[in-house]
Parts: sequence; structure tokens; C-alpha cells
Amino acid sequence: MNAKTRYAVFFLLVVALLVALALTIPSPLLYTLEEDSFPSPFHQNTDVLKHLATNSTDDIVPEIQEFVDFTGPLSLSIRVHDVEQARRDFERFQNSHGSLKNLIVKLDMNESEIQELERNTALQKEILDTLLNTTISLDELQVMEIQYHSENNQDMLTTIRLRGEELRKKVRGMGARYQNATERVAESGRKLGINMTKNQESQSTVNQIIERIEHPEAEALLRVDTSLVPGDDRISLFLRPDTGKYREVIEYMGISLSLQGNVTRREGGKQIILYMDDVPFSTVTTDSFGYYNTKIPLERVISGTHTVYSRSPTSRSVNRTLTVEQVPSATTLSVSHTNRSTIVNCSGAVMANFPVRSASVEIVWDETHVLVTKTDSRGWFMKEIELPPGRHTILARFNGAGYPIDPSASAPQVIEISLIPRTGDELELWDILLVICAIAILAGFVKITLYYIQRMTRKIEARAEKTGEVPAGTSGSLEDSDSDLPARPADTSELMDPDNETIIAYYSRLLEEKGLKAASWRVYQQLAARVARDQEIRRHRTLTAREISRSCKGKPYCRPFARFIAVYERIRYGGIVSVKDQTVFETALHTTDEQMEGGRH
Amino acid sequence: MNRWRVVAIRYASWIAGGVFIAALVLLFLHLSANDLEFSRYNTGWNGASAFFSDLPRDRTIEVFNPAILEKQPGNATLLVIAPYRMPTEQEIAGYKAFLAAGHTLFLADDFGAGNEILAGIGSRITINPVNISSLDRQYADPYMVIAYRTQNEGPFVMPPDLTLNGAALLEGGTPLVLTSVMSWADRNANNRLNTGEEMGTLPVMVQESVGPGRLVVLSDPSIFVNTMYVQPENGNNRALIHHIINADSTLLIDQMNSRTADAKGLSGILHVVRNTGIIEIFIFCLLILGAAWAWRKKAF
Repeated sequence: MNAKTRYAVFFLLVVALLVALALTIPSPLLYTLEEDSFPSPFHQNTDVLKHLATNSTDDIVPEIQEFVDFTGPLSLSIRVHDVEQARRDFERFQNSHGSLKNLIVKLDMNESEIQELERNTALQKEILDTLLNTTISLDELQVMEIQYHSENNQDMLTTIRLRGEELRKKVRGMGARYQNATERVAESGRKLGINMTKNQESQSTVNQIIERIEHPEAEALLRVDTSLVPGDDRISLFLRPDTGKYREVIEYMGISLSLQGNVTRREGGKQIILYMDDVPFSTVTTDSFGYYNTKIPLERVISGTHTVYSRSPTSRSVNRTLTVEQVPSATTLSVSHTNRSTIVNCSGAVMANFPVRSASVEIVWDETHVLVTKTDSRGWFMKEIELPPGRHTILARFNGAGYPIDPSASAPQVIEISLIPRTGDELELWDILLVICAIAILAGFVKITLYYIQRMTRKIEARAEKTGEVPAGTSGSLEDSDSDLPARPADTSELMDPDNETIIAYYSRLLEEKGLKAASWRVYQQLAARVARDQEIRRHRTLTAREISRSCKGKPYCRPFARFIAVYERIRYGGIVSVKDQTVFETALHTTDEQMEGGRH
Repeated sequence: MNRWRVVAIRYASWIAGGVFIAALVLLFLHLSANDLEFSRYNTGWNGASAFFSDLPRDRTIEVFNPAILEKQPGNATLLVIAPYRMPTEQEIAGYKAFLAAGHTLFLADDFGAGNEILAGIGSRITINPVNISSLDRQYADPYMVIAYRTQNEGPFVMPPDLTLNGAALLEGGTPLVLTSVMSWADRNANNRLNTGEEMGTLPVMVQESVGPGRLVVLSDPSIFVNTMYVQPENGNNRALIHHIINADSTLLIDQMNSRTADAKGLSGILHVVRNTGIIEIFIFCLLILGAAWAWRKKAF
């Protein structure tokens, strides 16, 4: 490796060390924050936590979510007349409401927003409470009505009917109030990022309950009646096939007839309503021959057997049984980064025997946060979610509720969000700034180094010019430092003529002209150059006289040369020089020269 | 070109020397630190180096021998931070004698051997190894609980609140610091408030008189680690610690049974050297001999 390369490597080493020091001294960052966020059984790293959302609503959304979701199951339990379950739901709802009342903490939603949510859910609670009590009371009244009807107790029947009317009046207008409360809860939910689907779904259930309470006649019309309606009119119903799976098409067909005396007429243009489990699901019109036919795929129908019948305004078909079979499903999920480092794109699909369309899919991250999205007509879903920095596990799950499909969940996907959230633009700008800073620092360093070296060089030259000597520590001038030749003096009269002048003559001439000190130095340079050439000592002028003397080995002149060096140093650096020293020096010079000449050096 | 070389040669040895020394300093800093939990030699987030560097050297005694506790004069406070093993009989005797002399023992522990020490000295306080969670918290984690003082003046000047990092539940004693009503003991350790986990104020720092002495128990030693001590938002933690260590009394730090004394590698050797007088003298003598040899060589 040559000198240039060595100096370049050395320079780089110095720069690297300075950079390492600059990075290490202000803050001893031995590891990056990502690597330093190892789990500890004792405590957590606040530097990491600081990069997470601080006391955000996200932290308590699962708790609020649980509270808001309670209205759905409660209203459903009232609707299906499961009074015990409704009571249990109501109790849990009350407990959850109690915990929300205490939820006034330092969050990014203010106290008034929490109070607004609390007020509206309290109103929902009150309405559900009333509906629960009314439903129970009406059921009890119905039992009593049957009893008094069988006893033919008209007085009690009248009393019971009046009491029923009273109860019905009580729930009047509750639907609108519940709707207002639901809308306001939904608004709060949107603001706080809470999934309000269950709460909103409870609205339709509550409306149905209120409708049934307020208009019991309408309910009576829909009551299950498996026997044919007595009368002259007839309507038939056939299913093809009578067993199906999700999205398989079932054909519903039949004919509507009317009997007028002995004549049977086909009823064209009649409206036929198809019912499944007493709930209308389709309306068709008979053709001119009285036939009706429709094909409907099985969508949100739970698996099992279902009672299907059709009705015209005046007649009802026999009950048919439709069997819906359960099918397995598979949910896939892929997670990818977006342009913004904290937002990831979750996409996937829910597939059964067909793609599951318009189904709710829950995207769960870190087992605690749930976001809901819907599949499209091809069963695909996509949702962008914002995640705090750190490692996250995300999965998508389809719960299958309301579908003849088994629930399924995707494989968990792990994604890493950088602790330093930056958008693409910021990253670019930051990188440019970083490069500019690095170049500026490097340029500054080079400039300072150059300036310093130039200044030092000027100083050395100025000193050399002033004293007429080469700098201490080196044996020659600045030129030809790597040559084997002796240094070239500035004054040409100090030059030795090797062809016509022996070293002794050269010494004598210089002694006369320049004095002992200068003569001894020039003679030393001549001898040192010879020794270096003979001993193959590289860059001998970077060495001191004593070092050259020590390097001289295996030659007869080495010993006298060592003596010469010893006395030369005394003359050159010793101050006052005695005659004896001069004599010894000259003797050593002679001896060394002789030995060298003898050996033809 | 030659000028460059001459200058480079003249100063290269100085620069090389500087680089070598700087590299040695870096190497020493790297090797003398460790990553052990609570260790005083750990400069990372989970070490207690910042706390130990703030200790008043003039009146701080590091306790390596329980005998020191028995003959401690005047008014003194002993800090026992994160004890990790069953205390020995001598240590218990030392703590008892310390309290019997009317001093203050401050025990900071959550899941360590604090209960064994408390039982040994006859305290009625117990540390229940259950994490306290709270919605009233400093960072985005329910274990980063903010707790509030019950009184301005206790055994020390009390800051208005403390930020705790995974505090345990205390039972017994007179509460000095309580969590807010938004807190609960997270018995199933799922960070959530579940059925059976009731919200309420929970004690995290209590005191009790043991004979003439005073015992203070804090259920979270993590307030001494760097991440909870140096962060500006946890200034109240630092204030409490400063009030304890700068109180007008002698401060003793237990290094017999404390994770703060944990060391390994070079830091372990340094710990032994610093705390063993005879070795320290020996090393000092070696250094003098080395210097003398170097001087002799130079003179020659």
C-alpha cells in the first residue's frame, strides 16, 4: 500500500471516528429505538410509547365499542320475546353504562363529547327499558285475555284491552326518539371512529317492536297459520329445488285460482307475496293464466329448515319446507404499506361456495382493535387502517352471522410500522437535507484541513528561509526526500563536486567557508546518503543520525560511522565545540571515508 | 507533493495518537456499560445510571455489608431498590437495627423480593404482585399510571403526582400516593377492565411506623430507571427522588440485594475494583509502577 492510499485510509478513519463521536457523545445511541424496544418484565420504554398515540380515543374505543354494541342484542332479545335474555342483556348494558360514566379522562375527545354519547345511550337505554317492560306486560295481558276469553268474562276482557291500549300509548313516539338518539350516537361514533353498525341495526329492530306493539292487528295478519285459509280461493306453491346452499337459486312457482260455484278461474294479475318464516321476502304478480314464477338466490338466510308459503290478498298456500345447508368459508388477507408509513392497506376476500357479497368483515389488529368493512359483489374487501409505530398482527374474520356459512378468519399478518412516522414527501425532503448537510460538513472539514496544512507549510518554509536550515526532525530540505542523494543546499557553493572533489576536500572547503557546524552537517549528509544507498535504507532523510547509525549493520565502516555520528551530534547540537571534538570528528571522518572507499561504497 | 508528505509525517503520529485514545475511550465506554435491568452501569433506557450519577457523593454510602446499618448514627435514609433475592438473616437484622435506630427505610419493589424483606422486618404492608392499570395515564399504555399524593408533606416533600411504569398493588400501611378512580388491578394481565376488576383508587406508595423507624414502600422501582427519571414529562418522579436523596440526612443505598448493583463483563470488573479497597490500592500501585517505568525509559 503506497503512502497516498495509507493517508487516504487514515483520513477516512479520522472522519469516521469524528462522526462516531459526534453521534455518540450527545446521546449514547448504541442501538436504534426499534432494537431497543425489547420487552421487559419490569417496565416499558417510554421513548417507544411516546411514538404511539398518547391517551387517544383508540385506547378506549374497545370499551366504548362494547358499550355501544349492547343495544343491538338487547333489542333483538326483546323482539324474539326472550325476556330472560333481554333482562340479562339489560343488566350488562347498565353495568357497561356505569363504567362509561366514569370514563372522563385525559383523552383526545373532550368531556362534552363523552357526555353527549352518554346522554344518547342513556336515552336508548330508557327506551329499551320501556319496551322490555311493555313487551312483558303485553304478553301477560295476552295470556289473561285468552283466559278471560275462554271464561267469557267480558268485563275483564274490556279492562284488559283498555290496559293494553294504555301501554301502547306509552310507547307511541318512542321510535322517533330512539331514532334521534341513534343518529346522535352514530354521529359521535363517526367522530370517535367507533363502529356503530350494531347500534344502528338495533334501530330497525326497535321500530319493528314498536310497530308490533302499536299495531297488533298488522301482526295478527302475519301470524303463522299453517292451515289453508277456508274459502273458495286457492293458491299453490312449489319449490325447485327445496334444498340449497348459499347463493344457489331457488325457484318459487305456483298458480292462483278462484272457485266461483262449479267454475274454477285462473286469477291473472294478482299480487302474490312470498313468506319465509312468516317474513315476506318477495312479491310477484301472476300472469294472465294465473301462474307465478320467480327465482331467488339464497343470501342472508341462516342454515336449517325454513317454512315458506305464499299469499294472495284472499288466500294462502300450504307450507313448504326449504332446507338451507351450511357451507364452509375461507377468508384471505394481505397487508401492504401505503405511501404514508403509518397507514396500511388491508385487502382480501371471503369465499364460500360462491364469493360472499355484502358481508361484514372484521379487521382485527393486535387482538384489541376492531374495524369493520364490507365485501363487494365479488366478495372482495379493502380497508386502509392507521397503525401506531411498532409490530402489529392483523387478521380479517368473517363471523358468518345471518349467513348459511361457517365463520372463518385469515392467517394473521405481521407488519412493522417504523417508529419514525414520515410521509413520502417529508422523507424525500429530509434525505435531501441530510445529504446537503453531510456534503457541507465534509467540504468544511476538507477546507479546514487544507487551510491548516497550507498554513503549516508556509510556516515551515518561512522558518527554513529564516534560519537557512531544514526543519528539525528531518535531515534534508523538502525536495527529494525519498532520494538517496544528500539534500541540495540553497547555496550552490555548498554543493559537492563528486568528480573533482573528495569528501575530505569538500569538508576542508566548507570548514573554511562556513565553519565547523555547517561543514559537519554537509559531510554527514554525504556519508548518510552513501550508507543509505549501501544499506538500502529507504527515506533515510526522515531518520535521525542516530537511527541511520543503528541501521548500519554488517559492514566494516559501520563502527567508525557510529563514532562519527556520536561526535557529529556533539558538534551539531552540543553548543561549544572543543578542538578535541573537532580532531575526533575529523579522525572519524577519515576512518569512515577510508573504510567506505576500501569497500568501494 | 513532498510538502504534503512532510507535514503529514510530522503530524500523523499526533493524529494517530488522538485517534487511538478516542477509540480506546469509545471502547471503554462501550464495554463498561451493560444492558441489565435497573443496573447502575446501564446507560440505556432500563438502567439506573442517571439516578446514580445524581447521588450526592459527599453523604451517600453504598451498603455492601449489613453491619453498616446497625451502627448508622444520626438521621439516615436507606434506599432498597428492586431487591431480587431472599434477604439473609444478617441483612434482615441490619434493616431491623436501622429502623430501631429511628431511621427511614425506603423500599421500592414490585415483583421482586420486597415481600420477604417486609415480612422479615415485621411490617404489615404487603406487595400484591398484580399490575395496576389506569385510564389516567401518561403514555399510551394502561400500565403507565399517573398516581396522586394524598398529602403535601409526608416523610419527604411530595410532588403532586407520579408517573409509574408497571406498579404493583399495595396492601396495608397509610397511603401516601394513590391512583385515580379510573384505575383497576389488572388481575388477568390483559390491559383491560374486565368483569370482577373494579375501578377505584389504589395505593402505590404507603408508609408505616416500625418501632421508632419509618418504613416507606413504593410499589414501582421503575421510577429510578433512566426512561422514567430523565424524561421531562416525568419531572415529578425526579422531584420526588431528589427530595429523598437531598433530604437533610445521610443517604444509604443498598447494594447487597438490589438489581441496581448488577454488573457483567468489564462493568463487573470495574464494580469489583471500585468496591474492593485492596484491589483499588493494588491497581493504583501498578499504575504508579507503569508510570515510573515509562519515565525511566524516556529519560534514557
